[in-house]
Amino acid sequence: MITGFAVYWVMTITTDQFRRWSRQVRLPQFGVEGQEKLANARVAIVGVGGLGCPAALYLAAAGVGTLGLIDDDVVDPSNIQRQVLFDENDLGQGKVATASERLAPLNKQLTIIEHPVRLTAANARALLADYDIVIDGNDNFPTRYAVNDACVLLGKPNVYGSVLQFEGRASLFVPGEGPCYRCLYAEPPPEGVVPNCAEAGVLGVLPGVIGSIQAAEAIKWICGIGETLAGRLLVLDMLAMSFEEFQIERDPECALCGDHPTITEPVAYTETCSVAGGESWPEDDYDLEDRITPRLARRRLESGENLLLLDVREPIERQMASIEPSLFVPMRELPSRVGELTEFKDREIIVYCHHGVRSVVAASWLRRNGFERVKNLEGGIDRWTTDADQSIPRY
Amino acid sequence: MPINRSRDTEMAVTVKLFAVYREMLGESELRLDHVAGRTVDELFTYLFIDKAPEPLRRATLFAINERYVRPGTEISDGDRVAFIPPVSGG
Repeated sequence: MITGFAVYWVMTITTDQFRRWSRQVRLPQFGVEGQEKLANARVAIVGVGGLGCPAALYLAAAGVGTLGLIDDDVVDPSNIQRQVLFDENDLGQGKVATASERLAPLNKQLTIIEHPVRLTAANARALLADYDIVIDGNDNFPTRYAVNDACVLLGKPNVYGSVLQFEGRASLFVPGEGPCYRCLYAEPPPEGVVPNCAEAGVLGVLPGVIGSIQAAEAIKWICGIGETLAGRLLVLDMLAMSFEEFQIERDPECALCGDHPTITEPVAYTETCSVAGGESWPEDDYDLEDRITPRLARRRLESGENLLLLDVREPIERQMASIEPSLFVPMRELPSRVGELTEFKDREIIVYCHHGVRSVVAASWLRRNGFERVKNLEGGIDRWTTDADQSIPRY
Repeated sequence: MPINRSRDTEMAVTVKLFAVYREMLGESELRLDHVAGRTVDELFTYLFIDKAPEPLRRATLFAINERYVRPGTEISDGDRVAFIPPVSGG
């Protein structure tokens, strides 16, 4: 018996193709129609990292026709624990080109568009304009806001995902149908308040789960099936292995998608706290009241100035590398051990950590507690190893 | 009445903490009495008073009973309050 469905199928795809995609085409909600929608879909992936790698793998495997990969980074040894498109032979190679090589054999019909550039507020609209839907898998706030702003202004859905330590988040922001990222978080958090993965760590499999959820949401949106995460924020606690869901809604006062929007172009925020591997820093050195770059700090130390270096990292980090001589007080012990610093109250203190994020918090705490000459070492020991003293191991 | 740890009365308010807030307070969930009538941001400032709460509070997503609420929303007896900070890792 030939049903209407079967006739439609015979007319549109060959038997080989049916076999090729049979496991999903036989799903009644998906069908041949779903496969064709995927084949015609253009998906942009911003950030080919912990989230972007699994998302790209599943979207390519599912038969998405066009994938745009946007990332200016190169593969760093610390990436491989979670960025499953890369291996130890890829170190130093561009992520976009390497990912493209791995993804292409998954589907000969797949078109990959390589954008080995950093998405910024300035180029976001142009980069994303030709895509139907955007997967936001980047790792920093300025890019998150640039993606969100551009998606709302272009009217494109934004599949949101983020991870830290053992906690992951996912949602789908569809302009006109629900909130955008700014409805939840109107502005990026101030410098030093929220740590990143390089600072705080991330369990490798966590972005695997969240990136896969992003791929699933993109496929559902493209095919128009099921209940998407629009209007819901999913929070995964991987240690407890529990998923929680929060109902979220558009904020009528949102500066971007509210009733009286004031943002008409993506807003550029400066990245003050960076992530390991391939991040660019401003070339200019500076020595300001509250912060100093490693090159200038080292120059002043070598000229014999009486500066005190204060290391606020964890003991395990100090075992890996340290700038000497320095005083060692882990950040969480600072309030209880501040007495040990009293004798240095009149000296200029330079606080450092791994990337200069925790140390910002420590430095401002010290200032509030009577230490008047406290500076943050910008970029932390990581930048010190690249800019001031390459003999110190980088971790 | 000051806010204090609940002995698990029905009126107790549950506070769920996420991401860095768990580390900062050393717990993922608190049960508190005498919270009703205060706003979510007042409760936040109260709990994080020694952790420079202002910049954190401004960057926090508040929810009551698994639903997003604006700062200034009052808490009622038995509510489940959540403080969700932004995370950007990818």
